[in-house]
Amino acid sequence: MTYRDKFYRLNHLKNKYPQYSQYWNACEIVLLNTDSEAGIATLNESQANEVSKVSTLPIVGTQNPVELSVTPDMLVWKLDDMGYDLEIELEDVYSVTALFVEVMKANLAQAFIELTPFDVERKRGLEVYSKILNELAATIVQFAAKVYASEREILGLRAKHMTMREDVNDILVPPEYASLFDKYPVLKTIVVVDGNKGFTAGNVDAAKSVLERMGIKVDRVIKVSIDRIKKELSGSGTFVNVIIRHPIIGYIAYGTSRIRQEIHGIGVNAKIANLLDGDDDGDFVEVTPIAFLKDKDAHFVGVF
Amino acid sequence: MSSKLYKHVRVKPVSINDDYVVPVSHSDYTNSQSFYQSTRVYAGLFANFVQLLSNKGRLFVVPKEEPKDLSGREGIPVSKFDGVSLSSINRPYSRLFLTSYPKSEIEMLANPFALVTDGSRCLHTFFYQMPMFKLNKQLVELRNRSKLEVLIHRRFVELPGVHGITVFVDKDKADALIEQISNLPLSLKGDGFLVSRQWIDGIKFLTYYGEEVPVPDPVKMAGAARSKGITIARFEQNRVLVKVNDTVLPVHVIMNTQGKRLNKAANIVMSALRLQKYLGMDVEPIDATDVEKLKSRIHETLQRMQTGVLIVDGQEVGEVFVGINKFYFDMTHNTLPRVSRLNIDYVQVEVLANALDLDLLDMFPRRDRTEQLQKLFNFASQVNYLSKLKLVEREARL
Repeated sequence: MTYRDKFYRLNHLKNKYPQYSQYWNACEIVLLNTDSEAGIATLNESQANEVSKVSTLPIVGTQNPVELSVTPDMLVWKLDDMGYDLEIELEDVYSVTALFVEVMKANLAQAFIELTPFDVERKRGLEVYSKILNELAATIVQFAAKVYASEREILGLRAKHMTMREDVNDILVPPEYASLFDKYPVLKTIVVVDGNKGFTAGNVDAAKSVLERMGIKVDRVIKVSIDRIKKELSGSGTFVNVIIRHPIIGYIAYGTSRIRQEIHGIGVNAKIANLLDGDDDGDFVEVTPIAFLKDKDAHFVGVF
Repeated sequence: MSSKLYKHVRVKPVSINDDYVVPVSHSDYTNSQSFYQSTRVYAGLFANFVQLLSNKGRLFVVPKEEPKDLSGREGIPVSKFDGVSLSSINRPYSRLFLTSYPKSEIEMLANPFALVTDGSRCLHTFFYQMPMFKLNKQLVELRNRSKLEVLIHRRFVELPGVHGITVFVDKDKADALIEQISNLPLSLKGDGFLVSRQWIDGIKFLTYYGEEVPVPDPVKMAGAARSKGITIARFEQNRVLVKVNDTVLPVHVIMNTQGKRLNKAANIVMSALRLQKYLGMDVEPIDATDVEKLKSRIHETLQRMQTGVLIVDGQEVGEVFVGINKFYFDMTHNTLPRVSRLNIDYVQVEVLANALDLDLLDMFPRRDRTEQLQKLFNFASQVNYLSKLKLVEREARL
């Protein structure tokens, strides 16, 4: 199918089904940015944002079009996830999901059936259309499996590894770290330690166990609301974090953090950096807050 | 950011079959999409050069996927290629360069001492990742007055990069100095760079649309022979100076002496030669093809090595190695800190967490995906119904 064919069909669909104008615009962006040989759409951030605005994926061609309400992660994904395979890291380059591509293919095939005046070609078009629907069904199953697998949500601050002197007993973090504390997954996870009591909006047993492993002693952990956690975090205290160097290798350390305005990466004590197998040649580090020691000043870093 | 600084060029594909390099096409692969993806090289400053080298039959890519049967095809022995210096360090022999030397001429132009440098310390992907750049007048002058000449059969000028006056300090003894300069308790043990704000501001990257892009903080860069690192701090140029003989020079870059990295000679010797040239001394072209001459050149240069007195905030702090190093930048990384979802869907993370007896993962909330899954399954069943409907329609037309 040539570009001209694709846009001819898309134009037809736009005119016939104007209620999905947002979706057709997204299709146009994807078609315009699809490599003709490799067949992969590469989008920049603003194009990806535009595609992400689509709330419904329709399959037209019947009296009542089949619709799927979607979230942005069902439409676009970041290409940097496969940076290692491409041997370069392509930050801020996006592509659309197989689900989006298959639905778009089905609609373009439907447009062909509607547009062709010849019966023989229409029959051939129906064959192609059935094949695409089968592929779409397989894609939906694959997608459902992925949704099922990605059930945990852990947020962290991702930045470049910067090696600090051995006597630095904190993880130094840039000011962007503060933005973590507006986010639901962080509020749900963090344990506020006040004296000999811990407060969490999440899993009590797990919180108790992790605090113990970090050497933070509490008599009991109490389950409270997220609002209470939010209120507690607004006071003074010290954040304790886990620091993860590479998710595949899974090197994990922990320690108290200090925000430093002058730093643009995550500063890690040289000894810990050595244990994490990290240096300053472009390694990424992720810091996730785990506990907040209320009205308590502490300085420590260690590894599990 | 990165997409405009680089462009795709098509490079001829080959495969290595029984120690012979043979040309391949998309019909040799089961997945032609993956094949085409492999032949596209994403490059910046040297993109047109990469294209030229491919057209001239010097540079080739090796697709990652295994080809179908290639038996009986004639090719060139793999020993005639350099498969390391222009390949990714993660995948040697992914790019092949036809050459009669142990290392590609490109590597020898980037580092004239390549034949006496450790085999794994090459330009690698910085050859592709270096974006087009524009320098201010002072840096252009610095480069013009310090660029080295290289002999590879005939006289060439070294491969262009960004030159900077560099002091090399011992990473084990520099902690106090680094804190004084950066106001942070940094260590050079991580192989990072401290750079002057004025030097970095004098460099602008250029997109393929002609826009100027400032250098981000931090940025990944590399000196000779893969002495790579990120910029860990910036300092005001007037605070850090170096006195060489009677000349006081601004310091652009502070880096460690590369002691354990087996690329010390390439960094320090080449930097020293550039500085000698900049200071008006006579520097002979480097014969990059003669190993013995290269070794004696290193020996000679180290004998005449320039040291300087480092001056920080007007105080002399000690003697340091000084030279003019050449740097390449990598703008394919988004180096800015950002909040992101940790990727823990890897089985390995669960396995490791279990092995360490960690309850860490249990602390993180599970997202309720029931509704989303339900919608997907409804959609699948409607698609299935639609498929049957279209089948009936097709049957009716037959």
